[in-house]
Amino acid sequence: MSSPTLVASSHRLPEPLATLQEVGCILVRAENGIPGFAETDPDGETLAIALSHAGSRLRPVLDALATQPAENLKGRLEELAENEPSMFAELRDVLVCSYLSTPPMWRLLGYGGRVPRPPADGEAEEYLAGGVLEPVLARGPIYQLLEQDGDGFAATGQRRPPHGEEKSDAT
Amino acid sequence: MTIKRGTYEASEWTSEPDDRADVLIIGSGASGATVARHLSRAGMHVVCLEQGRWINTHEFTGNRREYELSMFGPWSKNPNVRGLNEDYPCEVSDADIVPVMYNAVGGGTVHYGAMWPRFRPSDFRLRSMHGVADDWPIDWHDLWPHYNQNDQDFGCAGMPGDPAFPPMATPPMPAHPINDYGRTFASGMNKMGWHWWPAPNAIATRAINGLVPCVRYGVCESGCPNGSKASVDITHWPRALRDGATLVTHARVSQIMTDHKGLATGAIFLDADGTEHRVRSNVVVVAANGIGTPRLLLMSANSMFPDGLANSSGLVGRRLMLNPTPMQIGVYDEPLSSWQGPAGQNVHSFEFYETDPDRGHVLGASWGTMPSGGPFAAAQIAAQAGKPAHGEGLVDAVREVLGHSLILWMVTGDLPHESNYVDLDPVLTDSSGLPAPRVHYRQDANSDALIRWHLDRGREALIASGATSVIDFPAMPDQPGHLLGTARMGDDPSTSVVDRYGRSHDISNLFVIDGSVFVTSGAVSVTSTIAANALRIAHHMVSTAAEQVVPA
Ligand SMILES: Cc1cc2nc3c(=O)[nH]c(=O)nc-3n(C[C@H](O)[C@H](O)[C@H](O)COP(=O)(O)OP(=O)(O)OC[C@H]3O[C@@H](n4cnc5c(N)ncnc54)[C@H](O)[C@@H]3O)c2cc1C
Repeated sequence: MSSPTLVASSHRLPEPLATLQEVGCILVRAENGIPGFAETDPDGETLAIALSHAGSRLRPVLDALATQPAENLKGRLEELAENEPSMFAELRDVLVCSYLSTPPMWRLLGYGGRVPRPPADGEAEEYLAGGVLEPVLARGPIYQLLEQDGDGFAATGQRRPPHGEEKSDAT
Repeated sequence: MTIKRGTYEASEWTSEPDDRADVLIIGSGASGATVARHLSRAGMHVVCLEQGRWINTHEFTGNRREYELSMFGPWSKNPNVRGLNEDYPCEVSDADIVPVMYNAVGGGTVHYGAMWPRFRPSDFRLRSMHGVADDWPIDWHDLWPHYNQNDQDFGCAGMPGDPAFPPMATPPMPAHPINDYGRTFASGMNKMGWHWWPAPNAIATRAINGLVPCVRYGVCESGCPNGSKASVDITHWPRALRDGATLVTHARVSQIMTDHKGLATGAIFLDADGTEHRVRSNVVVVAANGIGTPRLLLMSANSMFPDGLANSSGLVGRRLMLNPTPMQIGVYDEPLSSWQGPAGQNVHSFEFYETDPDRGHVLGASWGTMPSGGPFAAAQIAAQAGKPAHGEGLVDAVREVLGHSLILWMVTGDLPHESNYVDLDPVLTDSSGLPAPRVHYRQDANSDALIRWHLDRGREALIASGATSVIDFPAMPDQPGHLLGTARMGDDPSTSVVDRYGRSHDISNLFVIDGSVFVTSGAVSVTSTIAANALRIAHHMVSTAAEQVVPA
């Protein structure tokens, strides 16, 4: 598959998208022909969608990142991963999900997205062709039917031997 | 009578002091809608109070690019993550499993996968058969006709003849295609000589009950953007409303009222602005699910019932069952389009459903295959297998799983323990200031052993079907929304909360109709059984209406 055409961002995004994009770029770098975080979403369009859904979950981690100088974002992330692993995982998951929800990544992955795929006429039957259900039917019922007798309930229905054993009808 | 028919917001509620509905239902989910529909058809005036709102099909994100991102927020299955005003939070710090639910018109059916299996005869007789838990006061014969009716009323697509069940009426629609991944799994099951069958789903394969045929988006558990899934806001409420029911939204019940004779007289509810309203009724039906129902019964404590309503046995909130649910991912070399729905199940298996004493544990599990989702789901699956969750190798890991895998999920039976329970949190509240439920749930050693055993068998089946690797999730990231046992039914008032018809032993015009009444959990998706039991109770309410004692 050919590499998608990517447009580099020409301007800095507003906060907190800019910080999130920077973090995304640390988490997912371009390599081996695979685009990095910012290349797949230069204008932060998908990131903005992510923020609209996950904003309240990200607030604590954004606050935590904001408590220290901006220059050493990578160091701060490493610290977060070390000291607050669940907070780090939350941030990572949202950003990785954002990255994997961009059109260039879908093209790269050969993923068509959620599009209608109504079954063709006869498709259900086709999947069952060739007698695939025959062995199941040949083995017969596998439920237990209970009848009340004088002493309580007794299983009278069919029951096949448990895994790996040949046993006579037990219960 | 000034109580308006139809559906409207709680802030529009008006009634005169002597207005009285025939039946008040609290909660508009699967059970509440089933009973509302039946009673309205029988000519009763039903008023339903629902804390949530109507959700429109076009709100669902499943056919949009943001789909996987929306799970982090308002479309999460977990109310604590969504944090909507319509939700109540659940305190879960003492819970091994975090329960999921949805609070809206339709309740959990808005979010459910609509897997639609039935309980098996043995599920009602665990005590007699295996000396564990208790027998139900009813058995499968009592539910079978109601399952058949609900297959029509919800809209079940299934294939008759499954040897795992006693004969049942032919479902109204043919089963869904089992898809490439279902067929792949089935081939493995055939190699093992194990049962499988195309699974029943309450998802349309033809136009029925206001539903349109499924187009396999595969996003059922976040709301169907195509309007194909039998959520009761589509299948039931329009009919009940046509028959004269009243459905009030953003109506959060804070208390069920009782009179000096100990009869239920109606409820107090709050609208979205916190304004208090009252509704009076002859009969009160609680349908708020296995967590919301005990919460409400406990919140309704008063001087006559200081431990909460219907709680003379002390069992309200106790015996919570959540059906621990492990899953496995089979990864295959060949492409299987495994994001394709329904989700829902494609094939299911009851091979290892029954207790076998030789396994060293009691109970069993049902299995089912599901699509394995989109790119982010693939990343999470790969991460569980130790692949990079970010950085170098992420995309390769996603490629291996995306479209090349299937989910095998296993609903396991859960024993009822009084030590697993719901009570009221002393601090945490919902957006109306009402106490949040606190969930205490420990997964027991039987479940641990059962899960291990089933994961071993599942691995054998997946390998036999050609999987090149198998990834275990001993606990599914989301619980399946089974909330059971917290107001159990029984014939003995000292060991049960309600009788076999859901009627409180203590308050004869108070009924519980949701999964709270379950005596045991079964090991399948539960909604068809909740709804069948609710329909059975509704029939009983109609046929005994003349004898029903009501407040003066
Ligand atoms: C993600 C997910 C997937 C699922 N998948 C399946 C599946 O595939 N198959 C299956 O069988 N089941 C599935 N379930 C479970 C299914 O949704 C439930 O079994 C079913 O909805 C239970 O119906 P109910 O009427 O008992 O309760 P609910 O549907 O939960 O309805 C209860 C209603 O009561 C309302 N309520 C609660 N308290 C109050 C109050 N104080 N005042 C006013 N209203 C109140 C709530 O808002 C809610 O709408 C799933 C659930 C979830 C969340």
